[in-house]
Amino acid sequence: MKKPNDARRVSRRRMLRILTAAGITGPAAVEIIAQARRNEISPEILKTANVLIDQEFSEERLRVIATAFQRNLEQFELVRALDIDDAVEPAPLFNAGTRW
Amino acid sequence: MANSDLVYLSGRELAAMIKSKKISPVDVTQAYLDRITALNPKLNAFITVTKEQALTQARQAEKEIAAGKYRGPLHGIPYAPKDILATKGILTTNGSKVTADWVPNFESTVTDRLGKAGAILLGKLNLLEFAMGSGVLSGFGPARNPWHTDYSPAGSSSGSGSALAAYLTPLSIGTDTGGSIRGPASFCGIVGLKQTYGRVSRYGVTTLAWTLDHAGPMTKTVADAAAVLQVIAGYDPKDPTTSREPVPDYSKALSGNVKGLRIGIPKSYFFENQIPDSDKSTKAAIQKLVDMGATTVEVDIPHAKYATSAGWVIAMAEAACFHEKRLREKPQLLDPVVRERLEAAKFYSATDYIKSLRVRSILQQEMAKVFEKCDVMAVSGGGPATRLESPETAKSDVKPGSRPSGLRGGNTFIGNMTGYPEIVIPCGFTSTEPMLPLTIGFYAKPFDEATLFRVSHAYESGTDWHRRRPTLL
Repeated sequence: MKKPNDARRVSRRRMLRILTAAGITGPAAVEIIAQARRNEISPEILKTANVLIDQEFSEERLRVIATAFQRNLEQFELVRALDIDDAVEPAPLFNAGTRW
Repeated sequence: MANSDLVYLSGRELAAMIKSKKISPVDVTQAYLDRITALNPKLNAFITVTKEQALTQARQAEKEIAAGKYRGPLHGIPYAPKDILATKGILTTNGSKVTADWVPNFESTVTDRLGKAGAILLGKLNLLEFAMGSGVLSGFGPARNPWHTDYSPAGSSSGSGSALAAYLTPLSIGTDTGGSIRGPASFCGIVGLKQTYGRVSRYGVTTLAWTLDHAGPMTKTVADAAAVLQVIAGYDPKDPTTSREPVPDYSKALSGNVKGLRIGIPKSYFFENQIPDSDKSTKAAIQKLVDMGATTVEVDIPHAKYATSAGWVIAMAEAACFHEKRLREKPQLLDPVVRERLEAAKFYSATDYIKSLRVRSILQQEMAKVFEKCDVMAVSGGGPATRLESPETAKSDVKPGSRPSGLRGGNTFIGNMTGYPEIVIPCGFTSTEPMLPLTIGFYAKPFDEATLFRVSHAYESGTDWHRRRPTLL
């Protein structure tokens, strides 16, 4: 039986390509991959991801955020592991114009 | 009746006496202002009290009614909204130090409609900061639960729940993004309605999450919730998500008759993890409705357990986007837990957000199927209230030894995710001290708030839970 986590696991090679494209190489990239595969969010990971979200956080804030994000991640696992039929489109909001 | 006892009458009872000129809106307003003066220091329910304006409005209402210009059931009736609804020329803090001095130059549609209906603004009510803080460390400190002041009134419409349970106002408006009307209704033992998304305008309500936010009635009785919705519901060109669906006459639903009404009982999720008192009370409430002529049918929402996790992703991603500037420029002024949640949400992925929107589709489809079989779906209303957190534990969602709760939002988030309406009403009390309220919730199909009023009013009419008063007051 397929484990939920296997379905979304990105190969090490593909992850390296993504990080290289984002300008992250060398030991930092290796550390990110290692941590990601352990499914742990560290302040270092978020520090690197700062580049992607265009917001600088202090080391102290990154420690707080990493802990909070890790906690949320455990919530997200439920949704991430859910297999959804291809026919299901996103519902951006309740459509008040629809007759029910 | 002494004027001080006027506060124990429902809005509907007050309206009948005001219309027949047995009492004056000025006496009613003064009675509430006196009670706020006496009890707000203990409860911290009000952030702002608009005493002079309230008395001026009350005198105006008195004159109009004396002249035969009665506007309707809310004319001369005091109310107080959560301090996240913009009120022109009146401080609107959002419960935050960041916007502690904000005086809007515009009026929210909801408060505008209430004002035009003749309702009298008593002031603005406390809340969890930006409708998502800890409460304890929000900009204006915690509101307290009148049933026991060491206990939380829940949130984020904390001041609304507290003020209603303490008889500091007969009517309130709360907002609800994942359960912020229904949670305080549950903890404080009052009536809370989150109506269909699009039924009530969000214009002038400070955003938490655009696609999940609702502003709705919080009251002491079902009839009062119906009267408030009657006034605030309907299309608003200032909010493009409002519906043009006609607004029915909700008073016609208050018949007391539930004969033939089909109550859906979910076979999983919605009654799990209840404490024994709550389980007993909700079952007894359903049985009472059956005794009155309703029938039950088993229903199921297989993906219900995903509602809260997916809803949380949507809520926090939208909130982080809405508050981007405040987070960048004044993070130190935010409640620590608000800051933590918004900062963490900056790192949520687009695919997590969109997948959560797909979960919303699934939930909407499953809810639609449920209402092919029944008229309302009963759920546990949540509660009882929990103790207020200490400032130390309130500063973060990450608490020593705690695990993330898969039930964060409990039975309520599915209403925001799907847009379906839910009402929460009192159905009992805990059997041990401190005596705390217990509630039951009912969902209905979109735009069928009338059926929610029908079932909850019928139940309420046969019980006295809503008439019980906190002993410390």
